[in-house]
Amino acid sequence: MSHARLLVRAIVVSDGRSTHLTDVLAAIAAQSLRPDIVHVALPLDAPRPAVPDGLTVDWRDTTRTASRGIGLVLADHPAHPHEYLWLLHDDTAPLPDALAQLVATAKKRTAAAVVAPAHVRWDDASRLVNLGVTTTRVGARRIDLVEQDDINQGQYDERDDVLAASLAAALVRRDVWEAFGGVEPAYRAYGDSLHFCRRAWRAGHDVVMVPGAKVRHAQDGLRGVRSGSSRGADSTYGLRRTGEWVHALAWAPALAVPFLVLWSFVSAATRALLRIAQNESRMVGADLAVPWRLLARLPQVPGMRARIRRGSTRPPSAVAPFLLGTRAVVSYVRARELHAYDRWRAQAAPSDMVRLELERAAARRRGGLALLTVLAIAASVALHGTWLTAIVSGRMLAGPALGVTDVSVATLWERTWSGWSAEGFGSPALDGAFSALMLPLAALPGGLRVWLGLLLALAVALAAVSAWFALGAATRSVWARGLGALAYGLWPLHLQAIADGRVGPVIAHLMLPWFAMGLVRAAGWHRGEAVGGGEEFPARRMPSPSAAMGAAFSLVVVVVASPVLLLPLLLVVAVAGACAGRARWRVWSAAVPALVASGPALLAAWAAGPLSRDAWAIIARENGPALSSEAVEPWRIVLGLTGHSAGAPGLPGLPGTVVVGAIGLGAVVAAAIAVASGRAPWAVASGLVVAGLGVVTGVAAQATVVVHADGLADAPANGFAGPGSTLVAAGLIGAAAAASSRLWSRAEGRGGALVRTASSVAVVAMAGVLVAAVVVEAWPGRAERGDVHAVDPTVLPLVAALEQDLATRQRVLVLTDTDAGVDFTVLETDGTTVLTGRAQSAADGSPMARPGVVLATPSALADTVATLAGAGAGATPVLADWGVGVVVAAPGSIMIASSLSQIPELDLIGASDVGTSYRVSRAGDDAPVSRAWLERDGVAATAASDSWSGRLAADGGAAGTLVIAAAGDERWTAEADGAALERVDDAAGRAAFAVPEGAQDVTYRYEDPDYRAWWWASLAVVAWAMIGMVPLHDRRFQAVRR
Amino acid sequence: MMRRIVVLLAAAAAVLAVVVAGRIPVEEPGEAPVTVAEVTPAVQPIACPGPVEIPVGDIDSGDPDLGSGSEDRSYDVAGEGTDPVGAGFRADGDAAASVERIGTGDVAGLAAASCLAPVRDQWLVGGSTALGASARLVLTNPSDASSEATVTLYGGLGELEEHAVLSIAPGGQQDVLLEAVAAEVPALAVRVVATGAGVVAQLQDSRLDGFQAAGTDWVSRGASLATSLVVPGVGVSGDATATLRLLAPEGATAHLTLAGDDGAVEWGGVSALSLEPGVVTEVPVPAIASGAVQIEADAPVVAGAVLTVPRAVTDGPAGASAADLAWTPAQAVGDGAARTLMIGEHVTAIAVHAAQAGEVAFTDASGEVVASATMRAGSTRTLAVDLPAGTVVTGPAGVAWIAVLSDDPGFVATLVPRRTDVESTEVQVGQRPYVRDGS
Repeated sequence: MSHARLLVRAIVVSDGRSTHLTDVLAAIAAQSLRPDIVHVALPLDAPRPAVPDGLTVDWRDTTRTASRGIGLVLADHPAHPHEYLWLLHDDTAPLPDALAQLVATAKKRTAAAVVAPAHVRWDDASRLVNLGVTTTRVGARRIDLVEQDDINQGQYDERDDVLAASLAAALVRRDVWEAFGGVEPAYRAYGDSLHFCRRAWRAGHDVVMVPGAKVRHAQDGLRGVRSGSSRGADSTYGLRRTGEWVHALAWAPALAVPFLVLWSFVSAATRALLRIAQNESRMVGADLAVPWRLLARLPQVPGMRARIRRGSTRPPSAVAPFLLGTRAVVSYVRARELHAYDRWRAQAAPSDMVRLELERAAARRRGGLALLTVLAIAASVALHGTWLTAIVSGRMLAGPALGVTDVSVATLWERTWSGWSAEGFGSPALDGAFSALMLPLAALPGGLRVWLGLLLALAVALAAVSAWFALGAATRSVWARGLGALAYGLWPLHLQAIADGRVGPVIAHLMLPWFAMGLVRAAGWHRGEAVGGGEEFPARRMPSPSAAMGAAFSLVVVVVASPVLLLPLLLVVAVAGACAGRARWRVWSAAVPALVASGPALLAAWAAGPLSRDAWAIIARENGPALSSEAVEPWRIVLGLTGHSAGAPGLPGLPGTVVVGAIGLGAVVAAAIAVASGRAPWAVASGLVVAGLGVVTGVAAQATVVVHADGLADAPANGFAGPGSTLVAAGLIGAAAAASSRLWSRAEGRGGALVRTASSVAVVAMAGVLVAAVVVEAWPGRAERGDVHAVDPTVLPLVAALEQDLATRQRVLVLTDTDAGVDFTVLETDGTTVLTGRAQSAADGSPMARPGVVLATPSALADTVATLAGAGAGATPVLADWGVGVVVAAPGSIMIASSLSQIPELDLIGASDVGTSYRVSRAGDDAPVSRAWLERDGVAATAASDSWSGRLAADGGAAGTLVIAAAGDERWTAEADGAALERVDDAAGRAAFAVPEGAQDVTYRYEDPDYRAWWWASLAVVAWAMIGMVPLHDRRFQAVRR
Repeated sequence: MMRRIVVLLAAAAAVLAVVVAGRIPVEEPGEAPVTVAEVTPAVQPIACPGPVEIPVGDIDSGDPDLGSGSEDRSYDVAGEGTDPVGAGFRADGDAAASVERIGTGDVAGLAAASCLAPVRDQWLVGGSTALGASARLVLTNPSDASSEATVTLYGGLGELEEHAVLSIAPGGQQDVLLEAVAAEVPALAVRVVATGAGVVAQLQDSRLDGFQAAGTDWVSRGASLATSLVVPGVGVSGDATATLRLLAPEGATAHLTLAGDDGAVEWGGVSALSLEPGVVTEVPVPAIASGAVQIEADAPVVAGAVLTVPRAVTDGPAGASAADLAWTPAQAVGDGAARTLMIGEHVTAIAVHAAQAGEVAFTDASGEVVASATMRAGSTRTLAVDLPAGTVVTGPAGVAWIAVLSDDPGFVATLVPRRTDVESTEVQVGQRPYVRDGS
């Protein structure tokens, strides 16, 4: 112990932006042991606060950085022996005996370069803020040795030596301070204390904590008060995180520095993902900026490392005991999360009485859900059980509109990635979203055949269960939820869409409830569980950012599946956001992914003339299977009816409209009662407005031709009223459910008894209607609603299907007899594929992606097919020109088969019960028919191709022409040995390029930069929404570093 | 109160939406485009069926009056480059014919057939499988592609369930006795649909009345389904009768007119003949010396006529009579195509019906006029000719005509000219998705 008199020079550095400076000066004046000299460094323009009586202050004009301020003070005052600096910030107010305790310790611990007090909260001295700091072995994570806001019960009073402490209000030996040259500027004030203390240890000094000395710390800088930020601690997160990385770079072995820099990028990316999941979108930028800020500070690192090296007397191992290993870090993070979780639970814990009620409600809810699931699956099995058995036995669902469902991942991927729709002779696609939507199903084991089959077969059950969850936001009545969910699942136009194989409207019907639920929860409008006394638990529902992202994801799925719903749902989101108060941006953000995914279509619609019928046809386009349907009156759409409804078996007197429309009628009546009751007025009004939107959408869709004669096999079709009708169902059922909420518990007295009786009767009646609907629809012998059927997944003869998959990528021409002639189709894959998504063409036959450009389509083969039908000569060269290598006569088409067998240029290669196949050969050339080839007085080489690109070996030689047997869109490009090839005209309308003399390696591909940009943008926003909708518990995970 | 108003406003908006939405004009999706293409098939050789066969076989009873066969039998082939196909033959050139005369036995009479090119779809109106009648369908395939023929029969009760499917090898021939397929059908019409390049279908109609031959002839195909047809050469005299046979697959109302040498002849009761779908209908034709039946229908029909010429039996039982018959298929008028036939033995006249007034002249291969007449519109004429067998006679476009064969003791037959231009057929080509049908 030294008895020498210590000189304490207090330096208060202020940037003039803290309101606490007066308090700080008062606290200094109140010290039991006052500092010997008090300097206050204050910027010139800042007002000087009043100085407490008895305190002598040496004012110093300075700049805003603390380090410079201290430097200026010290420069003017030569050092004394045993001089300590008491470095106070303008937001640190020491408690009265703080300095006395610090000085006492400093006298005892002469080796201590830093003697630091405990930091407590400004407003509550019993809560700890800082009691020493350490770091990990790597050094890129600062670890506080107490939890923020921990109650100080003296549990840390034994703490003395620590790796580091905050220099704020700490006693620092002046000689050490000067030897180190103050704090490192590279830290920009965040992390410099840790660095200073660590250097002190290495330089042979100690760092000592004095838990008894307490300093109130307002943390103005950390909380962004100084910079005027409204974001609190978030505003300085980036700087702090960068400081941590600077620390790691400064102290790591030299060889590890490059790896740490790389690691900082990986870490930032990982944290950014976590931020998205937490819906902390602003923090994503902060995290992503960290490595770049680090790079900017990299030039200062060698200097820092040199200073550490020069000043160190102790080996690195001297501080090793203070550093934390991985396990300690994990338990530290875990403890912090648990702490936050406990705090949340303590806030939200229900009383015992309420808990009992909640448990009962949960049991009722679980029972209801289980019963609903069983009933809904039973209804699915009753309606489409044969599909399930067919899928189990290895067959697939198929239909004229649906096409084949056994579509490979590769096909879907090529379609969505390239933007080139390979159907027919190919066509540039407006977007690839539908393929992308199918891709996850195709990637599952079993492939699209199984999962799309199950999706269609169980669509009733899936819709009912989806609606159950959504209706939970409107009502907590299990009966109302169950009936509403079943009515939604059995909605007649949904059944029609399933039977027709209209995959888009089916998916839209399944996803719309999730969108509705997400939107309602995002705004915090959902119902709480009803507890006694007419209260809800929790009493205040918080808006959920994850729900907003869930709504965003559901909306993008709905809009991709059924683009016609984009406008009405955007309107819903816009209005909901406007009414959502503080959650408005969260709610509005739900529209972003849908807008981006629909971007190409919106631009095309704009180009077609906004507010024109053409623009609406683009907005209302059908991405997936579509077929023509009869336009019906609006009231039929309200009831979910098609043009003609079959009556009930055994009840000839009952019109089919009533039989099939009973569910819709029930929903309309329920909504009417909801209006009359005056209950839940806003929810009921919203439901009715949504239903009205649905009617208009449905009618406008069916009044518009959305599939034009595009030279392909699919027939022209108008829009489907189903998606609009889905909105009607959701609106009416939602309105009725919202009005039913707490009807039972609120009903009291004689009127209440009446209400209870009436609602019981209504429930039973609606249940009866639902059961009757299933029985009628599933009645044996009733005419099928649509023509989806189960078939063997092998559509084409094996020889033909094999040729499609070889590198030559031959197309297959399938011919079928008709009464008056022959029908044909050109197939790229095994059967007509619609599920890759429509390329979309306008009324004039031009692709929407290239307005006004007419490309070659298979309709150009009509005359050739007629020639084949008449067994005429000269057809095969045309087929070979378009890469058609195999002609298949469909099973049973004996007329065309007999014609084909008379044509000497066609070779019979096989006959089976899936058709008779003939090979097309090139006239006078041995080269096989292929997708692309090099012509030099005949075919010199054939390319190895997929649907949108290929490569061939030209092997030097003379100049020639690369012919790609695909519609000659302007975005085809070709290269020979890296040099772009020049386009040449092709009379048949194919893509052709001049290959120069001596070319070796020729490649070609379809490349559409606009499509690619939209593709990536869509992927980014959808991925953002998907990560963001992960329901990480908001409060619990807030514990992750701020 | 405010809340009430909000809900009521929303309800009113929803109702308004239903009302207003009904006013949105509807745009109908078009039909899938269909390309109609003319297809000209390759020229195929023509073929004849060969000699008639005796339905019960050649039974020699020792008594020439009772035996089914005949010693007095001649089979003449007129044509160039003939080449046997089964029992029949195919021939090069535009026309060829076979004429067979059988003096006695079950099939006594004249049986003549012009050789025809194979087609995929043909109607034969004629024949019977009633007791005493035999209908032998002969399918000849002169092409180089094999063919599968589906034979559908129509009778007085409509389309029959019974049908036959036959495969005919390239250059082969198949025959089938239709009484084995569907017996007891007194008035028959046959549709033959064949694959490949098609077949030549001809039907041997042989009838027996007790021990007396009641006639034999070949039924050849006439015009395919059409709404405007003419059956020439229905003129009869004496006890001979003419019967028109009609069939409308989808049903039709037909207007029949009988044309004579001086124009239309009164024919009561057939101004609006209702034809049930698929039902074979027979109408007796009034006996006039030279006539033709014009058929105008509101839906496609096929037709043919049979002449039955009775004759006294010289050495049979008292009162017994024998007969011969001659089938004439309908010809389409107004197709603007000239028709050609090869004259066989026993040709005595050309029966012609002209729809338009004017000069009608028949020429031989060298272009020399062999017969001619000036005719009024809608009249008929029978022009006597005496031409050597093997003469190729070509008639003018736009008239319906046949060559009439006759011989003692009352044998008759007809030879029908054929179009020699290659008929292009219309093929409707459309596109449609291809998935397999349900199984």
